[in-house]
Amino acid sequence: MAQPFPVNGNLASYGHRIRAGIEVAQEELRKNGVEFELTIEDTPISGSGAITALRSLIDSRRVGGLAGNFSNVAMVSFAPILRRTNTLAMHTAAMDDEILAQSGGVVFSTNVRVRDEAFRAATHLIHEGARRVAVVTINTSFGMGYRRHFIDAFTKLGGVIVADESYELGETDYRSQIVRVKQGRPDAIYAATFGHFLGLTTKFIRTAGITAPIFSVYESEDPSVIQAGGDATEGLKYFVSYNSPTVESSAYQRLKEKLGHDPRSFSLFAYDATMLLATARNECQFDFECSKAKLLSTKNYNGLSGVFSIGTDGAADRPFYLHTIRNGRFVSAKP
Amino acid sequence: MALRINRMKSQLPHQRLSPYFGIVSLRFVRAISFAVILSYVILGSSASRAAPTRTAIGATVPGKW
Repeated sequence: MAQPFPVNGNLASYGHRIRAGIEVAQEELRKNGVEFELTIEDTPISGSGAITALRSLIDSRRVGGLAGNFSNVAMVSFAPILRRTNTLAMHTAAMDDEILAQSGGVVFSTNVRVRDEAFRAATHLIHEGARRVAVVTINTSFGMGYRRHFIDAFTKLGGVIVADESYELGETDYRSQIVRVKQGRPDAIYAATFGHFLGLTTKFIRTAGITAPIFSVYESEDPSVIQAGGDATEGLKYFVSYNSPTVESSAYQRLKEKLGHDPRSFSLFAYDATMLLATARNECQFDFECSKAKLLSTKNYNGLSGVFSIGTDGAADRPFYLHTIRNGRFVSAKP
Repeated sequence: MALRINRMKSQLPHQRLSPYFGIVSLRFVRAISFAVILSYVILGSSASRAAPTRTAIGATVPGKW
């Protein structure tokens, strides 16, 4: 099968963490007598391969719901099929406007809305005294969603965008974009990107001699970022919306063992998504409308990722926490 | 001419449609319609009953991609 993008392996760590969260949730549910067959499809970020993966799950594996999905681009193309087949989907990534518009009430997420996180980042940078910000964006619905909402919020708060650069998903050399960023002499840089693309962005920024702080999105917490960016990722800041528990539950410990490190956004969100979806379907005897209503009624749910509610649009309402990369580790930015 | 009229007259009883034809055909149409609606209802409800059998759960995540 032809690959739509040369990203082989670069996104696998995201998939690994979502998979771990779902599998630990399945073990936990089994203990409570909730059994289900689980099929996890290796799915490209977009294109016909993604549709084939979904069709295989619905038509061959007869799944009644998706407990996790990584790609925003894929989810937008999944939405009409999910609606037509009455299949509920939990999207573990942040919900961009396109997904919210296409959802038709069948796509949910234990993660936040892109616009809420982008707004939080804009208010934080203004609060920190940044008035001139350069934006570097990956040209996907995910990156463009963050870019649009960040620029909107930041300029409304009195900030100025001194450079607005983007690159394509398959690109690996951003030097010309970073030259223009440098010319803008920004107080800070907002990198609306993820994974090894974010790592490369930080590397090109620091190699160009720019010392301004770099701010990014919750997907900064992935080993691929540090692998690609190395020391250039030190001090990178971002908001996450999960809250590590003060007392580790047995599920949290199992997830930690499985991952080999503290669980973060994707594994925690996937765990909670699976718990909510499987419980709703089980309590509703697999009735579609009942399960949907059950998911929408999720309020102040005390999940492994913290306390959250599901909004009327299917996205999660949760508080944000400032994190950073320090000594090659993802940690709270609190001193 | 008279012969032709007589021949036509003699053929008429055989060629004339049964007075029950309309009723029978109407019943036939109704029966077909009923069968179509019934099969739609049966198939439709069995399709909706198929949903509870979808007990499996899936996920779409990058692996080798």
